[in-house]
Amino acid sequence: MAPLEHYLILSAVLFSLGVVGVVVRRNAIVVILCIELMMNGANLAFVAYGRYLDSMAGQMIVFFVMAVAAAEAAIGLAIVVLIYRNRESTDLDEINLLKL
Amino acid sequence: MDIVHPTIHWGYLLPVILPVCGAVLVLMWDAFLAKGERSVIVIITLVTLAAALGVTLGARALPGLAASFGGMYLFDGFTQFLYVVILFASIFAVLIAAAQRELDETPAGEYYGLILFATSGMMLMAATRNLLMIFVGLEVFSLSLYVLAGYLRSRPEGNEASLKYFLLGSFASGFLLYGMALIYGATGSVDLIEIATRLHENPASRGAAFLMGLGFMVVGLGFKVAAAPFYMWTPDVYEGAPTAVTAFMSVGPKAAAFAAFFRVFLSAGDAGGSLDTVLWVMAVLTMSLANLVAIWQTCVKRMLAYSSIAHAGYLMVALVASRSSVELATSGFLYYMLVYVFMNMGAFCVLILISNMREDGGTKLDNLAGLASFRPGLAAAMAVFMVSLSGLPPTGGFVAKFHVFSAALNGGYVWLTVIAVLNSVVAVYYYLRLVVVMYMREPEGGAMSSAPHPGWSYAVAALVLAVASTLQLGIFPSSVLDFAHRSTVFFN
Repeated sequence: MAPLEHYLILSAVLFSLGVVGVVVRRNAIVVILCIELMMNGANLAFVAYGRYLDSMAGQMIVFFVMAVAAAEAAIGLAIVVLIYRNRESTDLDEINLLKL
Repeated sequence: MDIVHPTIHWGYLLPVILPVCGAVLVLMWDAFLAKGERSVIVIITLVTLAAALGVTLGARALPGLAASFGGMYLFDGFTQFLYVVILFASIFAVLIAAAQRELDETPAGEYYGLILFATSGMMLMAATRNLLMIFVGLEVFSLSLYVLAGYLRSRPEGNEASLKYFLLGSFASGFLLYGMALIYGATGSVDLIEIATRLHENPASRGAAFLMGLGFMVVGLGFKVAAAPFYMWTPDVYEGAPTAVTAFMSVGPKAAAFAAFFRVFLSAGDAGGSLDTVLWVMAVLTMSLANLVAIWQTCVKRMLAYSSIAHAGYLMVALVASRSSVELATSGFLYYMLVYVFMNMGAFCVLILISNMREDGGTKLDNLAGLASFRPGLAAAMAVFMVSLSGLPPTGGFVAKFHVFSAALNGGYVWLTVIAVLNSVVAVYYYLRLVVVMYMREPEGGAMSSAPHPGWSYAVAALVLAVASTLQLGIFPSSVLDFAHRSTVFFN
């Protein structure tokens, strides 16, 4: 079995890729995917820790996070569809009616 | 493998069960109603919330009986007070939404259903000592609020607010979740009491992983309470969302997220390391930046958004002070939160009535000019809220600020107190400027719609409740202050 560190490094990489993606990419759908990547990085850490600590909590939490992530994806995509209908674009740089 | 049956105290769960059942009922009922018919829905929602409030106030948080589901659900004094805060916020959100003209053409069932679901999520987040439940509660109310922010579907500003809130909110949840994973890995538990004991017993668990986890959690919760430097989304989202939703968003999530903040911060204890300093800096930045920017705002809705960030800063002062004087700081926070519900919701209610009066639905500062000459009652109510928000006597805002600042002074945070007081002085300028505009300027012309909105009686009820409570909490604070003092028992 691979040691705990390997899983943790992979989870950190997944999480960081997600963070970088959210900051760098300008397409709303790609940003939503990157947020999912962050969540899954955290999920991997939970499962790996749960296995390593021999505790069920970590493995159980992942199910809850998956359910939440699914709900979040549904709402996020609905919002993006709504934006696309109103202005024919999902580019975040063009969504600037309210001054930031 | 033995299965342990968890202890469940159903009576204490009732305040959360009621809004959830109410939400389902409202959604079902809506299917049988004619379009535009909403008074039944409003009344069901109000009855549900009032029943939950009654159960909460009638319950007595008994030590030893508080925890259900192994600490996943916790009804202690702290929870009880925050339930009152959250339920009042929801009641106001329902009342003022019923009076908002912009929301007339929208489906009623979903709005009130989502408000009730969000309420249950906020309550769950405030009532747990389990990291997983904090996350689930946060997501339940966040997902409802993402939808509510874009509830006026045809308005591009609403879409934009919804998207910004969604992207930054779930970005923050990602940070929060990863922080929880790291804390779980370092301590081997997701229960805050167990985390505290393990940190105490086993110094090895206080390593870098724990501190990083705590840091990520501060980022996640900082986004939710709109603290600097994570408040960028707030003004945009608050301006773009329907005013009734903005009012709800500026109070409810703050109460829930600060509750989790207090619980995590206090159970981390000494192991938190330099977290004190980080939160100190965040508190100062939040207050100062928000107050300085608020001065330049010409849109009242946006000004109130910055004002709500500034108030998050004052609440962070209480959070920092809770390290050295737990009881004073916590009761100060609770009292502040309750006063904030009434004064802030009241101010938004006046704003809704003003934008109802105008054809363009404007919420600019100029739209309020001379309000005192043609709507004296409305202007007087707004003046009370503004005085209270700026923290002057004889209103609740003064008592609340006084308690939070004296807790900080008591805890030895002299400079923090000085900066907070200076900030309150700056804030007086932009709050009282609004009063000056209402009373001293001539009313400007412009198309006015004189026909009152059919839901005006709800708005009047909300205004009366808000004004009476703001004044009562300022003039006769002792009984509620006692309640707040009794509610500082954590985890018991």
